[in-house]
Amino acid sequence: VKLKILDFLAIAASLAAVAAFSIYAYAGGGTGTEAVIESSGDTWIYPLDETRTVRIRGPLGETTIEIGDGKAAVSDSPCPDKLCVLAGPIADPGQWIACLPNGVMVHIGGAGAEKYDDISY
Amino acid sequence: VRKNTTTYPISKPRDPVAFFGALCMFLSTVEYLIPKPVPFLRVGIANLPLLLGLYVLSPGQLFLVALLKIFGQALIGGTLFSYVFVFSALGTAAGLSVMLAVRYSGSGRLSAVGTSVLGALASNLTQIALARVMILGKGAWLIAPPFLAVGTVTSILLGLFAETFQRRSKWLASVKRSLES
Repeated sequence: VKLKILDFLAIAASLAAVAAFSIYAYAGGGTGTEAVIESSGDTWIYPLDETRTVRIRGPLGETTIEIGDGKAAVSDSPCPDKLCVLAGPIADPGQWIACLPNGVMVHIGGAGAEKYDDISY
Repeated sequence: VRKNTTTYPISKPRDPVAFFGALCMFLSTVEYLIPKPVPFLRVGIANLPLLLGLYVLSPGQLFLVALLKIFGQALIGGTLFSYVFVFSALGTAAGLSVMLAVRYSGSGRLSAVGTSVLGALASNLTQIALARVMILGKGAWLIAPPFLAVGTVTSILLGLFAETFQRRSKWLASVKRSLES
């Protein structure tokens, strides 16, 4: 297959979108200090060092999130494939778990020092 | 009676829209069977009939195929009455619109690879925007980079396949001829 110049421009545009979103999403990362839970427009923020179980109500039922020991994990969710449960615990800034069917998103946030001094591609 | 002088078989689907729609449904099933490490990272093979359809079907027919794809996929995935359906429907519509625009405005200057990549980009950006608005909030931005990166790679691969298939397939050529005659 012979690619044309515009094909390469299309690929470049797609890669540029990846780069732009990467910079936007991962630039302001600090040390992971809090679990940020988002669901249908609401946001809950819990410190990662306090042990607690959070239940979030979504369209399918309750998603259970275990927080503690510097980590957060989805322990149960009423979705059919349980990918959010299989994702395991997250601890570093920028890491996330999403339960799309039940509309729950958990990610690690936190202010403070950058985890990496610099990243180059 | 006119004699058929072609040496290869003529494929004449009675209704090309139904045929391409069925192909979407079949490929959705295949897609559904592929294990995914992370939710909603997809290969996008169900879009292949739309990509190939650009070369044989009219824009109106393509939108009908897209409609069949959206519903077929929702039936197979069991997502008809969920958020995922809205994502799939609007993502597919955006992707197809962009691919049609690319096909008819930049005709000849882009292969199926460029067309596929731009279609996937439009579809994925639409879905990220929906995720931002509908459920995930700012967390949607964190999903965006891997989602778009995977989309770039898979859309290049699908484009390479479609370009090769579109040039070599006698079947596709015969479908095209049967629709033109």
